[in-house]
Amino acid sequence: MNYRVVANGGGVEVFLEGVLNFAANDDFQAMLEQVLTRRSQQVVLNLGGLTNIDSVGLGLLYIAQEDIEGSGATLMLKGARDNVARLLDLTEADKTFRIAP
Amino acid sequence: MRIESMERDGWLVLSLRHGHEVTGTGALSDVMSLFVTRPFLGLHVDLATEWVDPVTLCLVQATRDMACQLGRRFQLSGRDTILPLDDIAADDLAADWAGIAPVRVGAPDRDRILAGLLQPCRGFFELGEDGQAGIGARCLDALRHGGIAVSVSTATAFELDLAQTFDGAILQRGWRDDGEIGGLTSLCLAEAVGNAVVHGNLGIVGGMRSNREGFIRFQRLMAERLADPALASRRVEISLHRRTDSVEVAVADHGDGFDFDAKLARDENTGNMQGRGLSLIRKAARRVWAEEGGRVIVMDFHFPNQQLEIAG
Repeated sequence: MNYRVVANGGGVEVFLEGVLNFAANDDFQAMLEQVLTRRSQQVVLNLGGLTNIDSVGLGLLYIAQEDIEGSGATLMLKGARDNVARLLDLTEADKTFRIAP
Repeated sequence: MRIESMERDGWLVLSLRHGHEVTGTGALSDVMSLFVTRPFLGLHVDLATEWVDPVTLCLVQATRDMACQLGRRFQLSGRDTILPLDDIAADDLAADWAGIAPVRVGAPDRDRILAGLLQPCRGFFELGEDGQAGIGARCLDALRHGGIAVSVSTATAFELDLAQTFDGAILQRGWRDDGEIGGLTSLCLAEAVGNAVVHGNLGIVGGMRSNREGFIRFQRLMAERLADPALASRRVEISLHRRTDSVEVAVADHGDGFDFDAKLARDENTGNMQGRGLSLIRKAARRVWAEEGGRVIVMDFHFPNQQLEIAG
């Protein structure tokens, strides 16, 4: 997985690319650290560049939400497509996350 | 190897059988001399062997080259024969042969694995120290019945996105639809391969990844286990059998196995995302079950709009 952090008004948007699965490397943690240290009020994880995800990857999104919302910011997932959108749908992730198209 | 030759309908038929020495009705050079001097229509090589060794493969290539140079036809047949091809041989010998399942062998990367799973090949095998003996029977059975199979080490399955590559091959072959139902195979494969690597071959128990600290511990443990050659070389295998309107995909590992029914019940009752992979598969696949004490997960995907042509 690769990522790119872009400042977006008072918030921050993170573009994730590649595969978010059991083999996720340190990049996800580095991304999370980077986002948390910015102390942005709103964090958007743009999933449009992810080609595949598994339940471990979804678990990472849950961890991200816990940490980001624990810091007082809000998290939104955006742009999920194909398999990523299917997984979010199958697991009823909208009950836990704010999800935008 | 035992070589037998006979004339049939104007063709010279060469039958190759495994053995320790080259024996039979004349050495290969005599048979080839016969082919050169008499006006046969072509050369038919029949492989009466389950797995083609490198020497036999060289013979096949040599006889094919000679037939081509003479401007004569060449046919190859086998009886459920698996023909392991390296990159060069795969490019050189690509053809549609009766009774033969060509597979690619060699160093794995995504392109090679995908090429091995697409026509004319039907599999990719990363051979370890145990060579062909290390390939699981389920993979070989899939090849013999018109399916495809991949067998790689845990290290490779970790490095490469094996599930997505395999699913890409299913899609490119037209064995699944490109819609919502078809797209679920990729998710299920990703879950099953992840389980095979993490919980199966690397023996890492679930429940570690509920927070960031837990995930860091999980990653450290993964790295430690992957550094152990005995664990990293354990195989992950995906095999696919084709049915009339469905495909049956099995993911196998070499771990300790697990109680499938108990795990599925726990997954479905859990409130968080931890370890919900199996219930996800159950939602997406028509049927899922375990074999060999949990070392094999078999998923049945139903594609009502795909009438699959089943190989004989």
